[in-house]
Amino acid sequence: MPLDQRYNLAIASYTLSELPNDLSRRVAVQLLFESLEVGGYLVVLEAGHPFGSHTTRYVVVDIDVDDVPTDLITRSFLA
Amino acid sequence: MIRRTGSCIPLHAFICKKLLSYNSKTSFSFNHHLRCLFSTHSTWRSRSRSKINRRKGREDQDSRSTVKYTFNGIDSHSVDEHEHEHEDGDNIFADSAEGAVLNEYDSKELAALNKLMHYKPILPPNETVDKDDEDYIDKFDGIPDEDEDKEDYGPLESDPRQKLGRLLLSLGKIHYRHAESHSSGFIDRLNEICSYRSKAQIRRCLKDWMLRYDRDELNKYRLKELKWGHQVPAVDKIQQLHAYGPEETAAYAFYYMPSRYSLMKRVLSELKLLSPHFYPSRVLDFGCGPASAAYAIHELWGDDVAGGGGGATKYTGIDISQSMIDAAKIMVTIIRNDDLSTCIVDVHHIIRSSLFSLTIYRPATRFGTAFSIAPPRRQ
Repeated sequence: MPLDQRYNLAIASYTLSELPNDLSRRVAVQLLFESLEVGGYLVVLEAGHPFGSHTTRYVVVDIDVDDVPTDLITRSFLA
Repeated sequence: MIRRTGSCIPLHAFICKKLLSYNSKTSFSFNHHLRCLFSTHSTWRSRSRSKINRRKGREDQDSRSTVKYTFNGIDSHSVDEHEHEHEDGDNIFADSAEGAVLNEYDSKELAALNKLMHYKPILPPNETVDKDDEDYIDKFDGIPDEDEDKEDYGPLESDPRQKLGRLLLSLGKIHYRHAESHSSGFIDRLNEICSYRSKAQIRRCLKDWMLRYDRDELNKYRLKELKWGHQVPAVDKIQQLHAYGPEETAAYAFYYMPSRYSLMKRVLSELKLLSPHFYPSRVLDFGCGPASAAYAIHELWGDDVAGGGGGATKYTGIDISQSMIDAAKIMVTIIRNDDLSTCIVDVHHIIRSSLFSLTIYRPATRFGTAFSIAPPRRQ
């Protein structure tokens, strides 16, 4: 599997909204964050409608719940 | 439902940096995350926009604001005070601060703008419209063509969405447009992917997607409470899955890929601004699709390789759909053969996982108690 090694940059663009339910979303975010090496970045991209914000809020919650010390930079763009 | 190239696109993007290992518990910024969670979308947008303005400097602002406000005689100093007030609204007519400005705007032009805002084309028409026909109504009669002589906007000049984007740009609602940032190589590859299916097939597929799009379904999430800790509400209904076959892949490349690629490029350029010494040496793209992120990385960091950026990028894309992966191979192999000195994307896997669930449920079994949430209820 490619997930055995660590990554520098993990990207999930418009993927979380395609996943079937919230549990799989949370697990996917956890997996992506685990696959990062120290100092790596996780980039999650979603559309600007309410469902997109719903999925991206899960990112924040999931990374916070386990007391992971992160320097979290949150932006929402009008691109 | 407007095709999302060129007009304003609200989007949520999170960039998280992993600083320390799991064991040490320091620098847990609770308040910051609380603010992230419960602040509205608009406040964050205005905050980020003010940051961008500060970064971009005064010159751009002044040039924009002169375009924006010269017709009603407000000087550019008062613009900066007003600007933060009317960033919140999505609709440019709904802002009270701008009401006085827009009253002086001609009502004809407003009507034309309104028409543009509600214009919903699925595909651009192939046949040329006969202007001498009596039934033909020009939708852009009232809109002044200011920049027509100055700049050449390419073959999409007649596209109403391009006009709308240009007008929003001149009003200062958007900073720059991503539709213009596509390189010719990207468009060539896009056309190659699209060439495997006919226009009619793509149109049929897009029509199917548009009919399935349900705004009420999306608005359900607006009222949902997000509680702190483990009590995250489970979604009742299991979401309908998209299956990306060959037709859908061509339609995706035609419709969604340009905008999503440019957004990805925008976010990655933000990342490049945040940490200039960061170099993506190993990239994992979960749900890569046609690997537009690989191309964005290639465009952003492609020149850094010769300057000691830290070795070649290894790009790993994972997707469920075989045809998406074929499209990704089209996108990526040409990058590899492009030029060896500027080649950064060394594709060591693009993997088709037979199901996402195989991949993503693996850690759930490993950390069985890490997710103590209630299973989703069906009603």
